[in-house]
Amino acid sequence: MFEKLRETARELLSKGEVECVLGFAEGTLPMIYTPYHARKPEEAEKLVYGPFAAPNIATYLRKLKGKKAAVIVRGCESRTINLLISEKQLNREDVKIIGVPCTGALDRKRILKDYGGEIREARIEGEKVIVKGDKGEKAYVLEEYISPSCKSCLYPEAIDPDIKIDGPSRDGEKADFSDIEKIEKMSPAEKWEFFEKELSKCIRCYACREICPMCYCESCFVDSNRPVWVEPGFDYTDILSFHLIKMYHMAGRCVDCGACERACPLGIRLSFLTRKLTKDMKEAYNFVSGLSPEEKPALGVFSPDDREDFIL
Amino acid sequence: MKKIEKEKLLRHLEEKGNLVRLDRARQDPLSVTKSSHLPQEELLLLFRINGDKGVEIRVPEGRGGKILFGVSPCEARAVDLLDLTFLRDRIDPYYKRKREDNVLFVLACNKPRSTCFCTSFGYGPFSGKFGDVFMVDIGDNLLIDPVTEKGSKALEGLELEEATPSDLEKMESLKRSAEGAITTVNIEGISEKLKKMFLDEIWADLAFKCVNCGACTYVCPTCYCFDIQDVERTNWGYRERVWDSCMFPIYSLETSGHNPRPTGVERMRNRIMHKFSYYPELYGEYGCVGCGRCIRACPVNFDIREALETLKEVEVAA
Ligand code: SF4
Ligand code: SF4
Ligand code: SF4
Ligand code: SF4
Ligand code: SF4
Repeated sequence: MFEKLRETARELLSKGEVECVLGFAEGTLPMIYTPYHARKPEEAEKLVYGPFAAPNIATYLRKLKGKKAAVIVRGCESRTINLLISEKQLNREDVKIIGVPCTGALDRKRILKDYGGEIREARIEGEKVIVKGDKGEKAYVLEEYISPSCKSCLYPEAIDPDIKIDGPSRDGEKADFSDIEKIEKMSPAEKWEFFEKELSKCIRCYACREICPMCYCESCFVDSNRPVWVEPGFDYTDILSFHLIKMYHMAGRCVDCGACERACPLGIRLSFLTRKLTKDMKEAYNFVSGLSPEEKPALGVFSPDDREDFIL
Repeated sequence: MKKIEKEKLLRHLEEKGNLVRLDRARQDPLSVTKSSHLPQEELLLLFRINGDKGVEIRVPEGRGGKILFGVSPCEARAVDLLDLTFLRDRIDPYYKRKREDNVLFVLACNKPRSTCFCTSFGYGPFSGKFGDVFMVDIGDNLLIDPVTEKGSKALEGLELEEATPSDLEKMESLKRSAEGAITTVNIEGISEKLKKMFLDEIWADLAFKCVNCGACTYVCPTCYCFDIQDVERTNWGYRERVWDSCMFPIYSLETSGHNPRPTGVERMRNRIMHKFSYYPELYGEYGCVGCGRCIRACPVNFDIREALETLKEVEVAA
């Protein structure tokens, strides 16, 4: 099923148009693809795409600085590239964008939990994920186990790719934010409890930060010890500060790829934050991050008719 | 080996002290056994400026030990490895106290996970030499065998039956099927080889997918790196020890601004080198127990087994 992509990659590499093709390959565990860059034409055989790809591949572009690379992207990843270009982190000429269809990324941890045993194999068959392990074979409906961020994805397809691989994709018109609306309706006390329950599990491993393509700061505020913005240890104030300040830095920059949530070893639902951000940006400024490389950062421009009603 | 009903043993232990039951599924991703000896955050001392009397310092008391029930052999072995750092050449009093107070009831793994590779390190899911008491779940009963004096003491006052030949047979068959389910990585000679590979180009390749988060090191039962920080308030404060990770850029950042491990490549190399080269050199033991936790926690599927295979295949000049 990856023939078209592999052929494209092979050709780009053998013609020397690019030095590598960045994407995913099969991993060593079921339901997880691993980041991979094919550097020789024959390595194109390893490239795959689909729901098992958990990270946002654009994160890896910073490891390929100075190289001419082709990158295989879904909608959110192509918007990340636009943002990186608009923030002067990447030159458009240095990347060749290969768009692949996207039906959403899998919320792998939920299947692991629901299966309740050791899964040793998994494959996608049509709209189902079939897993095999010590509890026998079970089938899960993909759409029911898709990442929450993908459920509310507005642009599942790559924007302005140089090369497009066709296939069935999600429908951005059907983006569903209903669970975020539910949280919005909670009282402040309920909200506090809700987020505390979720975030207090955090062990500060920063997988969510490192996996994020937009968290590219050379030195992060949480690592600063002069001054100390966030204290060491596990006081909830500090954990909350980390997450909220990260979100402040993400307004208009987060593409809501959900990679941070999928990266979290504790399975913390970070998409409650990223999706609220996405929803607010859309409602307040009619802004969706990364739609074009020319777009100015949302928080970097001022217009006299900007909304002000949230200012106390 | 002796045998006892599981519930009977649990009741006995509950009366004895602070019993923590480790259910294998709940234990993931963090190793409760590690954090019971080396907590992620640990108060070392409190200080207070008391008028002209100067600074008062108070060291917190120990909280008493725990009975950890259901520790896996790999985690118990990992504690033995932690001992090398905290009890061998210099003694860490905070660690020592917990190590002395905690009692480890190790449970053989009837069902290894797909990520387990303990058998690569000269032991296995039924190794009975770690922790304080070794147990095997044979269904309605536990086979039980004290490993240390502390273990025998914890069992005092219990009536233990003698295990029958059929019980032992059952154990042997469970052991065979458990061991058979594990894929062993042949790591023979890897530590010697790694010594010659410090500057090899393979590290850049290996490190490509790694984003240098702290997940693998935080979940690892043998990783012990920590940072000590003072938290200051108006006229008082405290000193605490928190986990740190060699994967983070500031871990090796020096005051001058120089960082001897400037990129993820050097940091990834350090993680592997520490476990498979420096540890063997210093202590004659690998610093990995093959528990597979890092493999399960990694967001990008960096698989240490695969990394070892790759390293084995690299050709190095003699
Ligand atoms: S913060 Fe936003 S852009 Fe960054 S990984 Fe999370 S969802 Fe993706
Ligand atoms: S990945 Fe999860 S546990 Fe790690 S810092 Fe982020 S939220 Fe916390
Ligand atoms: S190997 Fe995986 S878990 Fe470890 S630092 Fe790299 S990305 Fe994070
Ligand atoms: S390196 Fe990985 S497999 Fe080895 S002890 Fe640590 S977590 Fe377990
Ligand atoms: S690696 Fe797996 S089988 Fe081996 S001791 Fe640890 S948990 Fe048990």
